[in-house]
Amino acid sequence: MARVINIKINGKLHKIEVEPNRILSDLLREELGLTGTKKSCEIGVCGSCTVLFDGKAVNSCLVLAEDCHDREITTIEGLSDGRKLHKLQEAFVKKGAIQCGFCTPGMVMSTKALLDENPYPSEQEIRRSIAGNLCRCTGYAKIVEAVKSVSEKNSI
Amino acid sequence: MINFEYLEPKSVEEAIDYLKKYGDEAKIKAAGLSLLLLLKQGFFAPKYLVNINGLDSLNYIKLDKDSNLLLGALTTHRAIELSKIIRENYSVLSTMEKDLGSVQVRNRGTLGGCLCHGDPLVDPPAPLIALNAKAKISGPGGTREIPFESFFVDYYETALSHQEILTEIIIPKISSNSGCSYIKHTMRKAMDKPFVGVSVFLELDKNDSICKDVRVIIAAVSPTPIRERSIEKKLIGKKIDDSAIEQSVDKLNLEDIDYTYDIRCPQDYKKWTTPVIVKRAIKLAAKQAKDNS
Repeated sequence: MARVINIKINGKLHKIEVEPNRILSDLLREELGLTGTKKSCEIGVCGSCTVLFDGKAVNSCLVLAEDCHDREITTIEGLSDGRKLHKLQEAFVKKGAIQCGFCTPGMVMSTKALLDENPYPSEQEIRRSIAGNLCRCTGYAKIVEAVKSVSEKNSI
Repeated sequence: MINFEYLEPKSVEEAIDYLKKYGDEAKIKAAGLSLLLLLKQGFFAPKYLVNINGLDSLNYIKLDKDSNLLLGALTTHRAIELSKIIRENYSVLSTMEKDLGSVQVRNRGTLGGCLCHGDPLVDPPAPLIALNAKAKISGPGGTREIPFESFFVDYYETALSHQEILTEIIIPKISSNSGCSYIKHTMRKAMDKPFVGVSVFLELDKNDSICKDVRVIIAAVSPTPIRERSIEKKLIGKKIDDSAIEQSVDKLNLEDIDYTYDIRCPQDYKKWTTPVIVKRAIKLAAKQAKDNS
């Protein structure tokens, strides 16, 4: 039986009717047009669907939409203000931490969660934070560099 | 994915009422990570999902008056990984959680959900059995406690009946002159399940290196974790040094284990690796016990 949920996405409150088997990643992409969140493995392995659930990185392919009632979701679309990129996105662009770009939204969300929790992570902490995000172009080194550059700016 | 009716009980009692009412057609859901995988792949099609993930009363980390550690079944892996109480008193659990899945999985997945799923290729069972932990279970007839040693019955099968819910994980206080290790052998450095996971609890007599108590648990090699008493017998009462540890691990005994086929590694490799990991885990627990004495 479908039910109406209250869900805050990127700061905006939505009231949406969802079926019990609706998955968060599908809700974001199909109903709300937020296609920045990518879908790939759909079994919680690749991390391309990573979003923030009450500020914590989760795989949106393994979250039922019903479980988001009264919760706050941040997707990649929620980082920039529409004119200026978020400093983490800017760092990804500057350092060339993007190849095909498919894993990038997930990588940015995972490392955003890391920096929110720990503004000065070590290289090992950065690497561990993206252990659940696969980049099949294997461009990990540049991604780590990009996150490092933001954390260095944090420390100034 | 198949559809189902989503039931949201406000208490454990209400959840049990749903299980009584709908029997086999209902399934308890915590965070639902493992469960959604089965539903998505069509392995399983319950008519009702009883969502208990909203029950905050089952989400806690605390010490009771006797300093036993109590974990609510819905405590997330990440909360355990980051808990100060756990890092200081039960460091084996922090170490184990740090390498369980990804941050995304640990942020959402719960310890209770993971245990009740009964998947043999997960990390928590071995250290919990080594620590002599107990499961607190609620059902229509009230609550009962059983040791985790008898909780895992078979492949994806636990001692829970259809009408029961795991509510709490109870871990007894650890004496100061003891150590508990967990070593998992994986193919990759991160985001991997163990194909051999060994946890050893070892307690030394005060002021010397005589082994007073030991539990050796081997997991992920067979449908359920194995307590290797043949090794324990050889260690108790002995002075613990490298040669005693080497002698306690009899390869032939470990060959009797029913090593299951695993897509990531052949049975022979499991058989060959297990004694090596067991020795390492005993050595690590012994070192910790000496350091803590």
